[in-house]
Amino acid sequence: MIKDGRFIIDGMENVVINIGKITTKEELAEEEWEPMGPTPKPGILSLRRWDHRLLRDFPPFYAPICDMCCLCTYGKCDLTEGRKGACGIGIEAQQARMVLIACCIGTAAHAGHANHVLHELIRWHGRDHPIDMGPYIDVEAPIIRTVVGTRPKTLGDLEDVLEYVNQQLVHALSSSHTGQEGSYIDFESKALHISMIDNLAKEVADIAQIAGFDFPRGDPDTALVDFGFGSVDRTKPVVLFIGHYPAVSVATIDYMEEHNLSDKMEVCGICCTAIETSRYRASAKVVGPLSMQNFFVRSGIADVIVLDEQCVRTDLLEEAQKTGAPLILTTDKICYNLPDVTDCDSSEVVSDLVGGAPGVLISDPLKAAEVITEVALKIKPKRDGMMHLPEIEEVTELAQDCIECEWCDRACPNSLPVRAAMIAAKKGDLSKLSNLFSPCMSCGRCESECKKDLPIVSMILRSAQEIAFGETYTMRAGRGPVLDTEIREVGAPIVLGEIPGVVALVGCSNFPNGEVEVAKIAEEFARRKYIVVATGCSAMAIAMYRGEDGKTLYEKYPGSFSAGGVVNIGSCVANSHVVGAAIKIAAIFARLPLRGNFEEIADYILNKVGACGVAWGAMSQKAASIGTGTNRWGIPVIVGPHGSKYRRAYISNKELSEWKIYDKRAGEVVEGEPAPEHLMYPAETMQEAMVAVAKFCIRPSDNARGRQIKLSNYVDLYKKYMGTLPPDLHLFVRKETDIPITMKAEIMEYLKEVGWAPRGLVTEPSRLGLEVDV
Amino acid sequence: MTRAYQCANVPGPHLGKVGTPATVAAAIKRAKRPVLIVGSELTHLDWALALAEGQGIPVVATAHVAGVMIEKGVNPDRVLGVIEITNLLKSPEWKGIRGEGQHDLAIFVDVLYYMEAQMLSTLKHFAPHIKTISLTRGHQPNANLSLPNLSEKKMGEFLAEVMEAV
Repeated sequence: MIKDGRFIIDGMENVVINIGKITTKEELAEEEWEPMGPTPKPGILSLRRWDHRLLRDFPPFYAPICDMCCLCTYGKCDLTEGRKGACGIGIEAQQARMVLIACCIGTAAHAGHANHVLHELIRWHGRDHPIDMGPYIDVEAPIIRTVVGTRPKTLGDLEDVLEYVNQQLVHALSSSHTGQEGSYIDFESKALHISMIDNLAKEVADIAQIAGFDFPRGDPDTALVDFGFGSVDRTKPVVLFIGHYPAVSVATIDYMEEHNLSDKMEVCGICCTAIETSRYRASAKVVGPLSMQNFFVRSGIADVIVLDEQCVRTDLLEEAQKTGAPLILTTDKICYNLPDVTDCDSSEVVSDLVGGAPGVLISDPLKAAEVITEVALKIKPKRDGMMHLPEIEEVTELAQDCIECEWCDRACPNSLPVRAAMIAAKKGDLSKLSNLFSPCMSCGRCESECKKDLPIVSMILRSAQEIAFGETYTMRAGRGPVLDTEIREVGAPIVLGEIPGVVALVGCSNFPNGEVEVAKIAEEFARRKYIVVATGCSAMAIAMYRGEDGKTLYEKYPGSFSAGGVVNIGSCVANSHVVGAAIKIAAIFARLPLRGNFEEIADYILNKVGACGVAWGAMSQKAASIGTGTNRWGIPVIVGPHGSKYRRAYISNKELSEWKIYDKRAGEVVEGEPAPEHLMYPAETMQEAMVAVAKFCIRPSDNARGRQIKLSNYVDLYKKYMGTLPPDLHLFVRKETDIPITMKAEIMEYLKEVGWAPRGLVTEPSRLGLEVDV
Repeated sequence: MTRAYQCANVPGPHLGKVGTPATVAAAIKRAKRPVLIVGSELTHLDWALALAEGQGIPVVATAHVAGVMIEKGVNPDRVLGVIEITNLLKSPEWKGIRGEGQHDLAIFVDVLYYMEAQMLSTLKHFAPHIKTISLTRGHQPNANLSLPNLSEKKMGEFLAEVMEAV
């Protein structure tokens, strides 16, 4: 098959025939699949009108965390009280610029992961290795289909997608250079664009992982994986993986299996690598989310610590050395000034590490697997008997040095009462230190600030040893994408509101009050028959909780994408499947064409798919791009209170806004409703977030029965936490038939008080018919 | 110079003042249309409600504080997320909680420290028409006027003196 438009005929070597374009069989098949939509491979300008429409209804709200710009040598520039920087930039544009930079960093991290994993898998299996998503998934890559306009069939096809991702990253990041963009709205548009590209990179990464590592293909009944410090068998050599890129942990498991070592060794993980590894083998243990990193490393349980990329503590070399565990780095993202021994003899590397070398860098996963395994086997006997944490009596002794200055409390991101715990510990009462274990993120800022250099994190861990090392949990292994067959079941009830919403718990573990709040949110909405999906640290946080019946939520609720399900989709990159599920509703239920058709699909999701993201512990730049990308598809996101430090939210102003919507069927602009009310909303407490989730799942497409169900949940939660009927209830009641029957008398009385009048239903709600001036 | 309570909360070259009970009370008395924003820490809710009642200041309950207030038999004037009330306060055209015009003073009590710092930053940058007082624990450099860093006991005394002075 000739694949370009130029060929030479035998015997006529001097004659070159140029043909405008030769269409291959594959390309013909692509054309027959679906006509190409208006925006394949969109550039920054292609979807700008969509962004401006979104930002008109949900304008950026800025909360500068820094009043200055320090990005060039003109600065520092003071941007307060209307001052401009030396380049001309104002405070709003500077905030939006920093948001864009954060989103570019997040996208680059996911794209870096995608590049790593794809190229490694192509090395293992070849470019022609097929993408097979199993018998229940036809729409194999909803984001790629919608944004790029192609259907990837092999790993090699994903390389083409990544080429586009990398190109867009260059353009978006370059816009943040001094003297480029000056409008905050257009900085936001670029942030939305690159964050949509982030979705694409994540989809590439996870499809490659599913195809190449044979991860689950949407199985609702994946195995229950042992979870927690206590699940790790310390009598065996323990290998700990931290990060996100699973090629090394997969290769290590393969190596162990090939050498009949699987039963003799323990593989465990922290953060998304843990989720990925348990997607490969359910025998791998999950220690916990990234908030457990410092605690677990300090415990000294790990005999070898392996780092790959993203969200890894940058001082782990120092921490690992304290426990005598060698550190093995496996990607170019983390080098820690350690020697690159990728091309050295493995046995010599093993010998050096067992002999006391602090760590090495090995960029070949297959070679790293051998070294990791052999080092763990050999070093385990040497480390047995080493003490890593202070004894209980030593905790009390150490506490005597505390001068009660309170800087620990003031350094703590959550202002936890460390000082009071130290004062109690001085008297031999360790209960207050123990109580800090659950809400503490083990970041160690208290230690950095401590005038007496007390090992506060270690003291907390030792004081909480019964909880930390004794309690074990279960987590359902990450299942990957939502099945097309599931979408066929739930598509209509979601769009009509009869399933009241999809709640996606995503993001990092910078929680204001520990992991338990994520689990409580999940439980509240699973009980109410929402579909609860979870990824990354939040999927792990859900596991760290047992209800009154003693069961974890993964044991109690089904793993299917159905009403009342608690679904572990997978790692950070598996977030793509959450957006993918919303896209599939448009494709499978509404039969909208996906190919190169972003705007119509996002408009459908915004107005008809009652989904809401909750990134309760959002911390990283990746979480910024995950959230912002989700917003561009029309899905609102609630972040925890720390999320206010991202500097920007997307907040409507319902007292000052007119809610207009275009009714496509009637062909006119009509009165709408704040549904969803906000697009990016930081909540102060879990209770506020729960009320907001119920409200943000309301959509103009709800039928009367669906609206009744949604309002019933909103009113019930509002009354539970706020004590009254919601003061904005009248905005969401279109006709009397929307009112939940059991609440009718009370709500009708309220509506009468506020002068409510019924209004017409919007049959085909859309934002696309609304004018926008760009 | 007083450091911020959360010590890395250093916004830039222009920092608010550390108040005394007298300066805080004077600023409250001077305001024509103050608003009291009560947050989720719930450590000085009773004090805040007494101030509101005594001075006729409308109360916005953020987060889930409304439920706690209602249990105490007090209805807040409005229930809004802290970001929602901040968003309204920065709009010059908003008519305020009682429809009497935009507020000229926002008093924050018990909002989560770091989230309050962000909201105060918004008002500092984008609401020149409004002054801010933070009576949440510890110094908030983004507020025009805030507390020094005090122990819980001394903070109680500080607030009692404010109440006496207004």
